[in-house]
Amino acid sequence: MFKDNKYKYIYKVFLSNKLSIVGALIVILFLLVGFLGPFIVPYSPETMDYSNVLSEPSIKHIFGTDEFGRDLMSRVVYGARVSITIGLIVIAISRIIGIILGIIAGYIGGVFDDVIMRFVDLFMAFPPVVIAMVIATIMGGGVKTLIIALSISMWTGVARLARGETLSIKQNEYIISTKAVGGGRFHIMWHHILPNILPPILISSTLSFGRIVLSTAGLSFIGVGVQPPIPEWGLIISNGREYIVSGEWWLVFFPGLAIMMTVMGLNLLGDGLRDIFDPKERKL
Amino acid sequence: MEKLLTINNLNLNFNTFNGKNKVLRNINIDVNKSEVLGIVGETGCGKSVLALSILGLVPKPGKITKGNIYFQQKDLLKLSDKELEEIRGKNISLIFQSPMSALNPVFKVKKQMMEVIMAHSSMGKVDAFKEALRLLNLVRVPEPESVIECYPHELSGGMAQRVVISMAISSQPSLLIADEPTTALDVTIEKQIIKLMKNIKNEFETSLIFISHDLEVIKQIAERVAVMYAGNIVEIGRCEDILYNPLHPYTQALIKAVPSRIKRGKELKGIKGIVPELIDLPEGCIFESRCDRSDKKCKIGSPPELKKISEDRYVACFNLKG
Amino acid sequence: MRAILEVNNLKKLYPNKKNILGQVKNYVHALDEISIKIPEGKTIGLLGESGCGKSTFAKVILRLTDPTAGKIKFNKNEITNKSYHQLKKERRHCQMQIVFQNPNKVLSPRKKIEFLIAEPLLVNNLYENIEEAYPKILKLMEEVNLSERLLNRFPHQLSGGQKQRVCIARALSVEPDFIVLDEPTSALDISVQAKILNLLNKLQQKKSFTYLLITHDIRVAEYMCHEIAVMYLGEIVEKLKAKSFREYAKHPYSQLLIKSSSAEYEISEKEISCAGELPSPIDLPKGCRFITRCKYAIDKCKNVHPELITLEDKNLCRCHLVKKGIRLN
Repeated sequence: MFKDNKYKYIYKVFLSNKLSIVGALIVILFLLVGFLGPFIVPYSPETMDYSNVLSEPSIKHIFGTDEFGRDLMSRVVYGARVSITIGLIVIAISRIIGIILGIIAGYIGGVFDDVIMRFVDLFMAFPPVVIAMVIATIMGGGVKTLIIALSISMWTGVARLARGETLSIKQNEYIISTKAVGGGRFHIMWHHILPNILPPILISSTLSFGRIVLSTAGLSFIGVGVQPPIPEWGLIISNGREYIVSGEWWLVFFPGLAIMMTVMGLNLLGDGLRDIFDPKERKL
Repeated sequence: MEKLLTINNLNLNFNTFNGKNKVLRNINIDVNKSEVLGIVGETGCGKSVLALSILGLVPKPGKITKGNIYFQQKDLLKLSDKELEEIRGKNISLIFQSPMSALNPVFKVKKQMMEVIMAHSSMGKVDAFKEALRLLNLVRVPEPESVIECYPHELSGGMAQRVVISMAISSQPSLLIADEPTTALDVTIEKQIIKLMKNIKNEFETSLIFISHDLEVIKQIAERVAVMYAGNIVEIGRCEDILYNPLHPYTQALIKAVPSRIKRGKELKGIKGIVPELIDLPEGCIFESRCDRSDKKCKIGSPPELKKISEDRYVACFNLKG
Repeated sequence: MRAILEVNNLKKLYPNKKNILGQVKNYVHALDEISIKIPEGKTIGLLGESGCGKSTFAKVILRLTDPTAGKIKFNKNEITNKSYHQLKKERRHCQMQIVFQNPNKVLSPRKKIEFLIAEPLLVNNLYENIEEAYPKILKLMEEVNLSERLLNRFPHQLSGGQKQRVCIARALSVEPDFIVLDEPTSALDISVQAKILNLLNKLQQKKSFTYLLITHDIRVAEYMCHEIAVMYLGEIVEKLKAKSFREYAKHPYSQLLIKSSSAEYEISEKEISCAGELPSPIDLPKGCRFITRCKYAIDKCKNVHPELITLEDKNLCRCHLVKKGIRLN
């Protein structure tokens, strides 16, 4: 009956929210830049040109150059790819861990619930920065450290969300009905609980992406994350820090702008998605 | 018989993404003063929407496209929201199926009843309290002094429904609309509530529109009955006439479908097919595809209209048979 | 007649309030000393209103929850102390199935109908995957009169009657001997109910199922059942043949049920007042539990709890005032 029109309806609700459209456009731009950008930028992010060090934005170098003469725009564009890659990996790892532990804690309950939730409390107690620093001391800085640190701090939110949703789905009569025909625990968790908790987790993932981009930039800024010469926005800003006073504003401005736009776009998109899935917000 | 409410040619659509859902089509019915009109029908027939449209409470995307509803010389459909608010709860009251959704869970019965009483009269708090107790006595609530201090969740279903009824009659409305008021109650309690409503109707000469899907319940309370199917009224008549001598094929099928011990061992007669979508309506009679005695003329042209067969008896069918 | 299910002195208590030390202060008496034999191939009705314990009874005998006391024998095997997990290992759970009340909530919303019908077959390892099970799925759809086209749809795209048929198909798929029908038509329209009841009867004739029909609707019970057991506050208060239920029901509660559901009977002004509503299942009266609503109650009823006695024709009744050969008016 309504199958086709569910999507028409979602489309319409989404379009009615102007801000989500803006968000979606920004995110699309971000993704396009990240995937295609490196193919169309005029320079490689690593090419150093000592004759053009710290030059202002011009037609030749649209965002200007850095202290090594590297084209800033190319670096910022590559930075998008770095952020996307790290973001996707962290999201994947944290969701997988969080969903598994959350569903087990919610569905099986008892001792599993207690133990898992205590782990959640434990990991939530440490801010990502601290975790990253600890891991950096053990393993050294770098992308691996960054990914592990962020995954460790983000799975907890997912686990809580998954557990909460599991608890409410567990009450539904179709769960009892599945038990009555002989469905075992794993069968129920995989077929009936997992598909139903995915929508809220999807929404939270969009919002988390923004946080990951920001955290990546922040951790790289303080030196614990991505290491040079990989072009990452936070790292670029960190390098450009010392030049603000001397007037080379573009080194900090463009990567900063990129971070701001991307995070804002992801947040707006996440809000828009939440409106679709939240029945109370629906306007028919 | 003097007419209290007259509904003329009421048409209501729900605008959805699939198209226009024609939920009510050409509804023509009156309610006389001091009478009980039963409306019976199955899921999706539009009986609840009809009740809500009388008071202008149909939620969006419902939209009334045609028709009038005359009540005390006024067309309710042309009144402003403010004017309708005056009438709701005062001249026309509504009782729903679930008493728990009508009562606010965070306030005591006392507060809710007094609020309603004071809203429709000029009584102060002390008088309103006394009036609340009087009303609870009227609906035969035992120990009203303790019930009045209870929160809704502390009351049983039957008790809560009595409280709701007492609030509905507090202003002595001329019309009471009850939408499946006993469906959620146990059958032993149901009987008490039905009898209570009959008493109220007799004592205050209130008119009552009683909506239900249960023929047995309708039998116990209604004087006249309107049978609805998929947005149309298909038959109107006196209760005994409709139930013991149904003329419309749908009414006949409905009565044949009720199980009883007389039918033990025999198959119950169901109605073939399912209720149609109300979006792309076929020509002719809406019941045609499920009807045992439909023929060519039922498939073409406008749908059958209610025709007067005898005093108080109307049927909408091209193929009447006894 | 062989009894497919034998229940003896079944008791189910739910802990209610706990004091500060965590000790349970009182219990909700959901089921008390229920003893009943369900003969093979017949339909036994469990008739009662909300709170009488009929749904709890269904859950306990299917072992979806544990009894507090008593014995349950299914097909001559004692299953009282076996967990659901153990029953599954022995495949006993396939022999007992249940059709629930509200078809709208009982089907997993994100699964297609073909999955939902295949599910019992797959989880019980009768087939490896949906493709293998397809012939059986089609056969089941045919048995419950559902069109193949519905297999690709989701539950919300089906009508109430169609959803209930899917539930019946699920119960049938594991070829049970005994099916509990928990208010199978309460949420359905009258005309849809007629079709579902016809289907259930047809299936019983074809496959000799034993049904336990739980309902609050006397007309459904009278139409479908061979015997009716009336429940009130966790006890069976009467049991007799459905054919003659209206004539021979002696227990005051049974009589109240009959009168309440028929339009012919006018209740008196005194009976309108709900003085004497259901007592709490926590603080049960010492004597007869129906005392708060019974117009025939005598002193003995207040103090002595009546036992279930056997009357003529093997009917059972739990009332001090009902003796062999004597009828209450």
